[in-house]
Amino acid sequence: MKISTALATLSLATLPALAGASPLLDPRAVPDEVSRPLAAAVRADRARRPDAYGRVADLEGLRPEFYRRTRAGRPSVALELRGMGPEALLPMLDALALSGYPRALSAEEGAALRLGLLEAVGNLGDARSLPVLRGVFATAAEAPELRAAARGLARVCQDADRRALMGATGVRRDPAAAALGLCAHPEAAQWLVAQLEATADPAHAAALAAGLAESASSWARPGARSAVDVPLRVRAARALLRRWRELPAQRDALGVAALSMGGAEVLAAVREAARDAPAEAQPGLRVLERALVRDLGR
Amino acid sequence: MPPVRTSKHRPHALVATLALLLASCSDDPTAPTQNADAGADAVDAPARPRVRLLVDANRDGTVSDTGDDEAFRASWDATHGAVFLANVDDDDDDDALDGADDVVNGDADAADLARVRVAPIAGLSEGSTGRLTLTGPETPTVRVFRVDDGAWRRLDLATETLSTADLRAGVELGVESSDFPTADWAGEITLSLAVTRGDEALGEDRAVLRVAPFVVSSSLDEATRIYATGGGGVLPLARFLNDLDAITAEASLEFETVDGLDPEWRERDRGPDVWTEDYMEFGWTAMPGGDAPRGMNVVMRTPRPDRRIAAWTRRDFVGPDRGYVWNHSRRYPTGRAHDPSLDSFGNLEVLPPYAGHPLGRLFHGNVAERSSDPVLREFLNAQRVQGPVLEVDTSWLLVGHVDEVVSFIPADSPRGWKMLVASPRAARAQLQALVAADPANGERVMFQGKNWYRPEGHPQEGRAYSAARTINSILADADLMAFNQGDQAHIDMMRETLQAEAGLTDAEVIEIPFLMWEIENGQGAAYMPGTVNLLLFGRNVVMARPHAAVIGGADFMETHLTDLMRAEGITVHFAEQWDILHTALGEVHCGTDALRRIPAQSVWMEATR
Repeated sequence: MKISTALATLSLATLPALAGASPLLDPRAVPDEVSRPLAAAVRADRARRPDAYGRVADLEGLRPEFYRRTRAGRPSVALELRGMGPEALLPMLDALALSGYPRALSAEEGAALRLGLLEAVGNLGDARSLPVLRGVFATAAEAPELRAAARGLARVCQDADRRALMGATGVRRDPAAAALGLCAHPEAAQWLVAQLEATADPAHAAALAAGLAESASSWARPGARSAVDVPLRVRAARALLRRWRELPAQRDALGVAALSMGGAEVLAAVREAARDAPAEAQPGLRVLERALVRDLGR
Repeated sequence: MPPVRTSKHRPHALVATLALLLASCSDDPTAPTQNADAGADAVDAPARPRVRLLVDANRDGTVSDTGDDEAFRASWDATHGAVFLANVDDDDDDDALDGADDVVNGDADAADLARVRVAPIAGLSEGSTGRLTLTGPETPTVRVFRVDDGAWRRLDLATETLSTADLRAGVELGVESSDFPTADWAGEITLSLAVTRGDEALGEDRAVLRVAPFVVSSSLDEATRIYATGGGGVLPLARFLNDLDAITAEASLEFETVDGLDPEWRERDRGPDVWTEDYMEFGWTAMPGGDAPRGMNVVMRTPRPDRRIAAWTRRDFVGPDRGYVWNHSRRYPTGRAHDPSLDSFGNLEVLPPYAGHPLGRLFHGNVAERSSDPVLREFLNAQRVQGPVLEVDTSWLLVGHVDEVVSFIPADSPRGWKMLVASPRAARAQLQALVAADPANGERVMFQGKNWYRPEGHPQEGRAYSAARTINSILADADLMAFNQGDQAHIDMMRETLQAEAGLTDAEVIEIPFLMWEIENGQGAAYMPGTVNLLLFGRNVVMARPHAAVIGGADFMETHLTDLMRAEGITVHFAEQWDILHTALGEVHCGTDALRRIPAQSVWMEATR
């Protein structure tokens, strides 16, 4: 088994003791076998492109004079880091896994930096980030960080990571399921549909539906660009609507997922469901139908 | 307030009173009798004095001693019943709210008192006295004043009585509340008068009044003044304010800037708090006043105690006929589910009036997982005229405000208004249509010359990130498109909720095209300037300048929005705000506020539920 695969499936208890320590991450997320090669790569890269590191170390979104004047009024750097593009990958991994930030941060600023780095690193879809993302996915406890790490892994979608995400349990199960929609791989899409057909767990159903919606988005990945072919879309749509009927507490989430997936197959599934749905479900189904018709009419 | 009418001023009323007295002596069971409509405690033995507490029960702005004012003085419903005000303005400009003290602060303050009259009791025997009692809340404080020869003083109901002379001559009283209805008090008081001589009960009467609620202005109400926040030499802010100044001047509308750098609220490490809509909400309160309602504009301060600039509302806005209210949890919530951003008033909007809701209905982003200060919602619900507050899910938005995706315009239709909703769907379709019309359009650049972060004038301006991007690049961005389809799904769900609530048809909803993007943790905000987040005055809207691609010599989105609104009889003005508001997650509505006139038909009594 590859080290990467092993890391992705390790539980907290079995993570190795670590020499290096990241100020932003649980030390167990960055074991020596991750930090050493990363540090070497960073050293070489920093020598070539110090400006790129300077940018990551001087974020507008962490300056109180900037973020306190935004409408949300709190630090946020994900967008700014995404804007730096691929050349920021190693500087971001350095900040995330090795060096941290050059000035003291408040807890809120630290959390924003950690999340922003995780999201921006993951967004690049670069395999060099996988060891760190695996470590974070194995150790993080906060939902946003789990989500970001899972999405980063899913975006690259290596076989071992895909299977690790499909096998995730506990607090990792639902972030993993939702992230699998980013895997441009038929296995992920089929797994999402099959799980949605099988699960009776409301929260899990919502996460699976969100993953399916991303995977089968009719705006993002129409036709041949989708890993979800038409027969699978039909199955997915039916599974979504069945769960929508069976899980009233999750109807908002499942309805949003249905609309986020969109397309003729979902509209057909809504109409099919409406034929024998109880009266209490009809208004909600009409809402979905109206929105889908509006969308398909464009 | 028009003068209180009395029988002394109105000979015909005296005739009517005599007729009433005569009728009360007849055997006709349908004839009006003394206190026949008053409460069960009323005493009306023919030989006893006729005790009456008169109020403006017919809501014509005057207190009469006949007709509905008399007949309905002890009842309260949608069409009858007296009203009094929460006296939360500062008519004498002494920096204390008028309802917070025991004095009447001049004639203007006296006009804010609801009149109650002890009707003269003819032939009352010497030695008779009257005691007033008030059944009402412990908080807020309801005060009763009396006026003698134009001089007002507070009546101490616990110790003072009305003398025989008072009762023979009649007494004019004024009533005020220090605050609005609360969750524990629906706003109703009962004022009772018992007349005795020694131990002998001679008669009694009671009158019911209800305090007027705080009503949030609808964006359709007539604007009288536009506010924005200024401060310092921030170049992009100056540009925005200049645009607003020019637009309001053209419309002959007053424009005022709040000094965002005033030493009282200036904060270290931040520029001016430019989110004018968020730190205050304008509304009004009113009681019947004859030709026009008698009331005041009221500013509601955000529940956030840490929003320092909100102190402007109390220090500078309050004055004659300008009131103030502030409700928040005694200990501001700090739990994980509480998001202070939701306590901004961009997250509190009014569906304009519709059937069953003559003052419209409040809606607000709040779900269990991401919630606002419950005391604010409790206060708004206690007003009972624009609620219960319709709670919608805005947790998918980073800022989380309903004004990011919904607004309203007047319309020449039976309903009188239409709803505008954000539409990534329409934006995507529009971009696709441009490319379909001419593939070369796909290479046109959106946001030309605009940057994210470090805007013009920033010390590190050279390190800005260009926002420029071709239409083809945007349409091909799968992540962006998937995210927008998801946000469109949320918007559609919210839209359906609002449509169902107000009974809006699809023809009464206009989709305003702009794309969203993910900011963080799956939560988004406007990617293209959010033009639905607009300032409305009359038949004018101020929208964010879209900075879309130039096609055929013009910004295609400006052209589209102008045409879209022109079809509705609305004139669009575009304001430059990219660097000061858009890049900081807000738009024109967020950066402005509008003081609006109390509607001529301020029919809140009919809306009380």
